This record gives sequence, structure tokens and C-alpha cells, in this order.
Amino acid sequence: MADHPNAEAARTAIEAFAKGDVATMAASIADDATWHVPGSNRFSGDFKGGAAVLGRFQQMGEAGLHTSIDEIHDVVGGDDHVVALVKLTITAGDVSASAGAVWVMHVKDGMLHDFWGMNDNQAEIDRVIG
Amino acid sequence: MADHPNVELVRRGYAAFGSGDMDTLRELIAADVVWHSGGHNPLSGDFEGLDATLGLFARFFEVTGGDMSQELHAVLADDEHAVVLLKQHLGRPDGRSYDGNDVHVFHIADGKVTEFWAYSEDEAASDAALA
Repeated sequence: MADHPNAEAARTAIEAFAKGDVATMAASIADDATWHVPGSNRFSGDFKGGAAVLGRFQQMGEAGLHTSIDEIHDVVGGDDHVVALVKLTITAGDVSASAGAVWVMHVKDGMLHDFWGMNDNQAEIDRVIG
Repeated sequence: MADHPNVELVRRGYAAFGSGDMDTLRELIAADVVWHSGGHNPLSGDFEGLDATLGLFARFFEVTGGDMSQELHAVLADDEHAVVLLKQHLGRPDGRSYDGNDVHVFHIADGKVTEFWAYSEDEAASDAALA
């Protein structure tokens, strides 16, 4: 079966994130988006509104944190939800942590609304981000 | 869009798990399955093969005294994966419990589950209930 259109919309946004294409990311994230970021580090928590979500990405960059998407393993979509299975590495200077991540998104009309992230290596990611 | 056939497959699996229907679980899970049980607790780890995986299920029933349930919020699938968003409840006879949002990821080939991963929104809370 073909990918669900919501999966294609989410994949476009994730590929833009992987390439650092901020314009495409901004065009994919709804104004009323809320980003639920896991863990207990300085960039964890709930970020409400598209501007706050994009601001968090920018602040992470300014803090010297780099997130690389090592693999977009699959993007699975339904009428309300999309789940992306990705492998990522977070680097801060000469330390880094890799994790398998599951990103759950509410997608509507091609736009990302709510986002929940889960990592299989959260404790180490918290340590690298600080 | 119509549900993918893999959606139906995993829904049957949860119904069978909920009713302790081991015959259906044996039908749906591959003999060489690898079951990655998430977290850092005595039930975490990688379980290789159908018998080891059913043995893990039995341990879950044992430590919860059967006080365990899954409320499925959404089931998504494509040709390779099924992903389930669920509310997981685990109770312990000593009063500890875990109620949280979990994500289960299934790798499916030829109509059988060949690999499984579990993620919890609050892994620390899940670990505390199962420690």
C-alpha cells in the first residue's frame, strides 16, 4: 500500500530538519503546535506555539548542540497520527549520545500540530545536553 | 484510507494477550522473533525466540498478578511496521502501579511479528513500578 499522505507530510518536515532547512520546517509546523520533549535536560518540556518550537531548535544550535538524523527508518501514518522511527545523535563539543527515537505527531492538512518524542537512551542524552 | 492489514494483525494480538490466548499469539509471532522489552528493570532486555517471548509475557502476568491492561489509542501500519499508541496500566500486589502513554513498534513480515520495541513516555516511572 502507498504511504498515507500524512506520512509524506511528516517525512518532508523530518528531511528538512535533517538538512537544517529551516524554511521548510517553519512551513510544516502549525502556529498552534505543541512540542512535548522528553527527558530532564535544559531543552526538555512542553513548547507551545510554532514560534516557541522553532525558537527551541535555534537555541539548541546557539548552545552548541547539534542533532544529526542518522537514519529515517520508517514513517508510518494514519488519519490522525504519524509515527516516525529515527536514529539520531546529539553532539555537544566532543561528547555525543545516540538513540533510537520514536516521534509521535498529530498531522492535519499537511501540518504538524502536536509532537511527542521518546528516546531509548534518554539518560545519556540528558547527560550530553545538560 | 482503509486500515492496513497489519493494523488488524496487531489488534488481534492485543485481544489475544488480554485474554491469555496463547494459541493466537503463537500464530501471530514468528518463531525467531526478537522482543526488545524497554526500560531498565528486571523485565527489560532482549528476548530471542517465541518461547522466550511468551515466557516474558508470563513473567508480566506473574509480577502484576494479572493487574495489567492496554487501552489502544491508535494503531498505524505500513507494509513493514505497525505502531501502537496505548495507555498502559501495570499494577503490583504491593500497591505500586504504572499508568502511562507507551508506544509499541512491531516489525512485521509475512503476516507475523518478527521484532518488537517498546517505548514509554515516562520510563523512570515504569521502571519504578517494575523494579
